[in-house]
Amino acid sequence: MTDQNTLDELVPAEATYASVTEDVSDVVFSSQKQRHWWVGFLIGLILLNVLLTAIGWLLVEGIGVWGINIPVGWGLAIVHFVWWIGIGHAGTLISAILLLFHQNWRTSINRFAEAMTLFAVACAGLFPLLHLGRPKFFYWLVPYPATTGVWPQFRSPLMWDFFAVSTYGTVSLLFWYLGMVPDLATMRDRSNSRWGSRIFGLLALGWRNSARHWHHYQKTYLILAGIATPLVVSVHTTVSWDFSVGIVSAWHSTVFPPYFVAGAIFGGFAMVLLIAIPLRRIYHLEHMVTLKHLDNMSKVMLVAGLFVSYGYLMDAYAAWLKNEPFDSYIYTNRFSGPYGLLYWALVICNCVIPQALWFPRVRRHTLALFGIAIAISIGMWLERFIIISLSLHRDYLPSDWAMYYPTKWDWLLYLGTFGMFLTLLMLFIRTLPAISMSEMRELVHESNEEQS
Amino acid sequence: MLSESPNETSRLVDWVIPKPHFLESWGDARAYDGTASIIQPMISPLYPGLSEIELLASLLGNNPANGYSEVRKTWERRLGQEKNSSAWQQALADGVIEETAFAPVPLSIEEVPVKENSESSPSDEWDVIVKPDPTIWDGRFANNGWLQELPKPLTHVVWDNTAWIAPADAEQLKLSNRDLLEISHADETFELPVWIVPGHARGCVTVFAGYGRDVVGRVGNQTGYPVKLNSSSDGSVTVRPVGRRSNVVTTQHHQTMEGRNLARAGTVAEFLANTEQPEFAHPPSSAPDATMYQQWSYDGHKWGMTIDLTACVGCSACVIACQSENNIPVVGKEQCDMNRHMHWIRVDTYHKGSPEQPEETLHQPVPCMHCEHAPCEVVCPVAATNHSDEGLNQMIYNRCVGTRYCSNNCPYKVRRFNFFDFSDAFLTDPKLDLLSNPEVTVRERGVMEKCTYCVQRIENARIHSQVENRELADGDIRTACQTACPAEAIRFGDLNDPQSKVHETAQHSLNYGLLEELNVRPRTTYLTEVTNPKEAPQP
Repeated sequence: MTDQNTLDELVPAEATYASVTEDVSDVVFSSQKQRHWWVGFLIGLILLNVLLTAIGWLLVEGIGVWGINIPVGWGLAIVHFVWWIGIGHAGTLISAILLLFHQNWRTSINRFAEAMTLFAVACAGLFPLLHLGRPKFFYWLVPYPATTGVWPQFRSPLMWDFFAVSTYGTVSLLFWYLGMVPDLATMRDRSNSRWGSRIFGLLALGWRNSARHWHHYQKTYLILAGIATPLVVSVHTTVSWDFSVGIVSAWHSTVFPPYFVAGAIFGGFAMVLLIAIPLRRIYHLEHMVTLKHLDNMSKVMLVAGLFVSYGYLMDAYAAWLKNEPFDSYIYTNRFSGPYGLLYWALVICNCVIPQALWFPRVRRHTLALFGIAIAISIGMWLERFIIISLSLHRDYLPSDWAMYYPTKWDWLLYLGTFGMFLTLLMLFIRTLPAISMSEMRELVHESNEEQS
Repeated sequence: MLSESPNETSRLVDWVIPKPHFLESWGDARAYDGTASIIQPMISPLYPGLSEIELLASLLGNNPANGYSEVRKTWERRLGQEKNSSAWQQALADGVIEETAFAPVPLSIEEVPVKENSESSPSDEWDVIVKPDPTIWDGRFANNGWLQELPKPLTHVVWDNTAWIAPADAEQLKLSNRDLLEISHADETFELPVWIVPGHARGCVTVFAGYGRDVVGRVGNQTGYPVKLNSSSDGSVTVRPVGRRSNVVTTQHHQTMEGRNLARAGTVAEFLANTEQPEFAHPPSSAPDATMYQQWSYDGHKWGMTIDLTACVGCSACVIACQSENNIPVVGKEQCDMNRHMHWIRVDTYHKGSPEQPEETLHQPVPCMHCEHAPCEVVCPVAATNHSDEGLNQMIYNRCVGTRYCSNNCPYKVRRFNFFDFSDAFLTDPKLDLLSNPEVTVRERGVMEKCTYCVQRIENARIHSQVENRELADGDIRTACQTACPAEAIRFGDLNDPQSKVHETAQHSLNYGLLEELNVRPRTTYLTEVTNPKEAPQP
């Protein structure tokens, strides 16, 4: 490990404009460090093929290949939709909200966190389409002037969801791309190949680094950040409405929106850590993604985790306070029903394990952080499973209570989305600057000013 | 041998003559009191064959055998000789021949001493009670998919037979549902899956025969377990757990109400004490009246249904009637195991009290409630399910994209989803094409479906009344489940018509809505079960 830098540093003292640019662009241009990349890319491609197989079989046979049934109409597909969407939250939070709050530490992690957001939203977006009984008619959810004169129903939370997710995807893409324009120009200028410079040139939109460009750029970037900020809250709030608007008694709860948002941030930061920790190790970027960054992200996770735990507690408290047979039963069933072990696993993963983050030593220990991030990812998966499928398996009439067992096709589709995520991430790392060079140079500038 | 389909006997004989279905052939029969009836074919035979009458006639030398002329000849003394005599026409139209009942024979019944049920724990010897299967009977209907998939009363087991034992016996033998039980008598031994039935007597086992046949057909092959008891059996057997399990499938996994007022019941005495507002029918609850939704207005008809739990015997005839009327596919045991059966109406069973001595076993038919404030309607993103101006909760199959949100949001879980192309055979097999009701859409893969209150019957009745230039009258529309109900527990009609029968029961003090505390305002309502129990005998 080369983590000798102090906690307060966001950039090493010896960093210069040139060294920052070189370190970041080298990941794309150099052919030295490609062995790890090829391994990752290959795994991604294999899993991507798993995804294609799972989708193909699903389309041929129908969604009966999954384990869903009546009463459990939503199973792993929706669990994974919410899980991936949740992961996609950290990116925008880091780039938009932290930008508005002038949190400089976001600089080195925002680019790949945003990329992660985009890819996670892409993975998430697959599920609502594929989970339809007749996916060929997915476009009926789009409000277009059809000759039938029939419009989608705007009272349905699924409609709101459609708008929330598509807006979020679009804004995240714009934000990510816009933030990359100055860097794309750098890449254009540093590229040795004809095609490389042409493609980067096209993407850079004629950026010439003029003061005017910078002026417009920074204005637009701030405005976009302003637009993106409410989205961080709105997307997962809307996703939670899919449930809290329903009549299913375990879903019908006003605590859902805030605790879904907190859960999304919780899971999203865990995923950022899961990517950042190997990335900085493999590409020796420890001086850019420093321990200070990991420490800060851990603190955000700790707070989000406490929020989430509070949500669990209040949900149970409200059910107890109501003292009404349906609501009380939900908790009896969660604690001690056939899926009881999953609930306690959730409590351990999301409420107990993250408490280790109170200790600065843990926050600075990459291996421990990696383990905690994995636990949180599992915990957030369990949370969605418990909320979505567990709530349905025993609802109002005991006569229709039933168990839900996912099939291998449920799991293969999930595994496959990791393939898509990994493939896109690997392509991103090899083709685009994974860390914002222009903002890093700004940081170098600032720290030089401080020193002088 | 004369047979409708290949079976164990037909495999052993040299000659098999195909027999048409009784609905394809002429015949006659007598009712329990001797009243004669002419059996008229409903359809010309799909495949050539000989009915029993035709076979006998041809053996007597009447060739070519003709069922019609044989039946006609039998009754010519009574119904006249000319081909279309009015008496013959009348008998066909009435379905019975007047005044053919036999004179009753005077009988006296001796008092049979009732053997007291001893409460002693079971010894090695168990009593065995052999019963024909409730759905496939003695096995003759084993190739009938509808009957195979019809949940058996009480256990709701499908596609299999089981051995019923008491909960206490199961505990003693350390048996749970689906464990295989070896039943032996003299040199006969067979295995059956155990099903624990609350209220079953101790020390005895009820087995259902009819399953486990060798040669049945595409549907019935390899279903169930054979019951091998020869006629010399004195009714006592020895039982032994084998330690293996079967894969018996049930469609109702949970039979207690968990303290919820679902199937309500009371006694006559309780009812007489308070006929205006009997508490057992209307327990205190926090049922809210306020609502954010707009009230629907009904200028014309307002369809509604009531189900009388006192009358319902839990026979499930409504389920089959609905299946036949509405082109409901059979999905098979494996899909039933995944809780994907397709019945639009189901008959729930609940036991009250302890499993050993349940105070009561209640049956509750559950079709779609056609809620006034249907939770399914608001959540569909493409508006594929909506409210009609006559109060029906309609399902627009063509518009459905299959999000299944409506089913998740249905507190009654009466919506059924086509997880696979279950109805494919309706469209591709020309024989099965005849099976389907042309008035009802066949649903494709990925589409949600549910009870429509037999909307096709409503429309048919409306067309007829318009042709006859009159108003729809109460009783013009009878839903499939209603026509099949032997106890007339189901009433259907116009709630706007104060003279209608359904209006009477909907206004009755025993009427309640299932899960009415959710304020979804179900339109299908129930009449609380009222029993008149005997005082418990003194020990």
